[in-house]
Amino acid sequence: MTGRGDLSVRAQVLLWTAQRASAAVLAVCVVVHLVTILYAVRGGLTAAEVLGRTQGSVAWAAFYFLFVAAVAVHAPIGLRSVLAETFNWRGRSLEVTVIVIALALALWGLRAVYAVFI
Amino acid sequence: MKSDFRARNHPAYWAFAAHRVSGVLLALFLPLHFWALGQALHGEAGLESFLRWSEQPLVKFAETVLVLLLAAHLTGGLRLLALEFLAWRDWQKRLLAGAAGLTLAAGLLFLLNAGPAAAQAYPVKPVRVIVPFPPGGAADIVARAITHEMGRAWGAQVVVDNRAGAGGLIGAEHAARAAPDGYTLLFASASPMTVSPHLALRPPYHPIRDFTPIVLIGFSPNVIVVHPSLPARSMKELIALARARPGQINYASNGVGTLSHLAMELVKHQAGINLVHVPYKGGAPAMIDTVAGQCSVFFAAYPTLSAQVKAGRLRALAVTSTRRIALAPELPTVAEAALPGFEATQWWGAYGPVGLPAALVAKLNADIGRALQSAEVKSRLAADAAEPAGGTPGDLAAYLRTDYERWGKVVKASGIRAE
Repeated sequence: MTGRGDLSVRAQVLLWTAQRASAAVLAVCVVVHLVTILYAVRGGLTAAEVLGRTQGSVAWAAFYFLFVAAVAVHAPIGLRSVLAETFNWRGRSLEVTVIVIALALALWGLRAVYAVFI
Repeated sequence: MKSDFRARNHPAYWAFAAHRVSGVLLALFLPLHFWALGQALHGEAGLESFLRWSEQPLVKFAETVLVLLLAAHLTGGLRLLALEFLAWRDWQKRLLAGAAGLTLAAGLLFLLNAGPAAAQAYPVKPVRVIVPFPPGGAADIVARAITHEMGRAWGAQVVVDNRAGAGGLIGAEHAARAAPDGYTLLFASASPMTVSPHLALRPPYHPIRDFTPIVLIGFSPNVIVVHPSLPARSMKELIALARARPGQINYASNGVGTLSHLAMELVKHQAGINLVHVPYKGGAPAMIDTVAGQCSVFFAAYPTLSAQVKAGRLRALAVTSTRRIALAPELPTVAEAALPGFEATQWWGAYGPVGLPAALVAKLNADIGRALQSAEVKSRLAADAAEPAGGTPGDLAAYLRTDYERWGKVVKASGIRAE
């Protein structure tokens, strides 16, 4: 058993792949995000100046969109494995819970990205 | 593969455990992080208020926990990915994960110390010091002496920006609404911080809630002067003259709601006399018109008037401190000359907008404090009977609160309102 509940083998492989792929994306995104914040804060930029540079920038919007998308994929899949293995939680309720978490992460994350862009 | 990680004797067991535990906590924390950021960016308060909020110790602690979790999660995750995908030797995989973890941890430590580091780098561009009165007045004289010293110490431009009007309310409001980044500061006298807000119907800021106190700059006694053509050589004679000619003698002030205005109203109230108020935009224009004889009486800080008094163009009657001043010991205090218990001391403070980072406040407090102790500033202030103060930001906060409450009571008791 892989601890993935009642999912088909194909779905389990899909989740496994998605989590590894999103992890690789996140590793890069986290580094870029931290370097950006370090540059901004140590350079003495104010919040207004930071927003002045990100607003209207398609490149920054695309980067943070990718970041949030990767988080929304990676975190719920990982949490699903932990919940299934730790609490022996299976079935529809687990899937719904995980989807709700993924949606919350995606919606709130994209809301913040939208504000940084607009 | 994965079940192997869970075995305690597996070489990657701790990486697996760290990755899982940190992953669960991050999954709980991240939605909150996204939500709070979205709220701040979409809300009316804006990102600056979010950054101010993030300066609180509890939030700083939460950020520390978050970055440590992130470091643990990435290090553990990389180790697991390396085990799954890389056909390297085990020491090479460990090295990869360790190096990534160390790099991330170093970056995060850098980030966590970004506040003090930013303070060390400060200032990287010109600093604007708002003086809410016109050039030439006492607040301006004091500010220019200190900013000159600050600019020299920093090797940077420190620009005095005179934004006069409404008893200092306009300039102080401008400073209150500026970004709390240390590049807009306020050097204000007592008036806009302790008097004007009590008189305004809708004060545009709260002196205690909307500012970050930095340092108490100094004190100076106020002086009551008259134009030499006025036949009054003492406070008693001025009061007697005003009683004989009610509503016929005018007095100049630095503006409606300034200490200069309110203190003179107190004189009127206590002496039972009627003088006509002529408000100006600051000490300098009020002094010019008093010297020219347009106004007969003027009440202002000694630095504004000292040169004119020494030249004989204005006649000083009394000082408003509780003690006589060394520079003009012949002048009695108002209390001993005519109105027992009377006191109205001028003082100045340096402030930033609310939310100024603690590291910057500490740097500014130390640097302005040093400027105050410099021989040049001391002699400049002493020449005008002003005394440098200094102390901690807490000292200024306490002084501000006490004086703000004291003048609030005076305004309430006297019934004076802004005209």
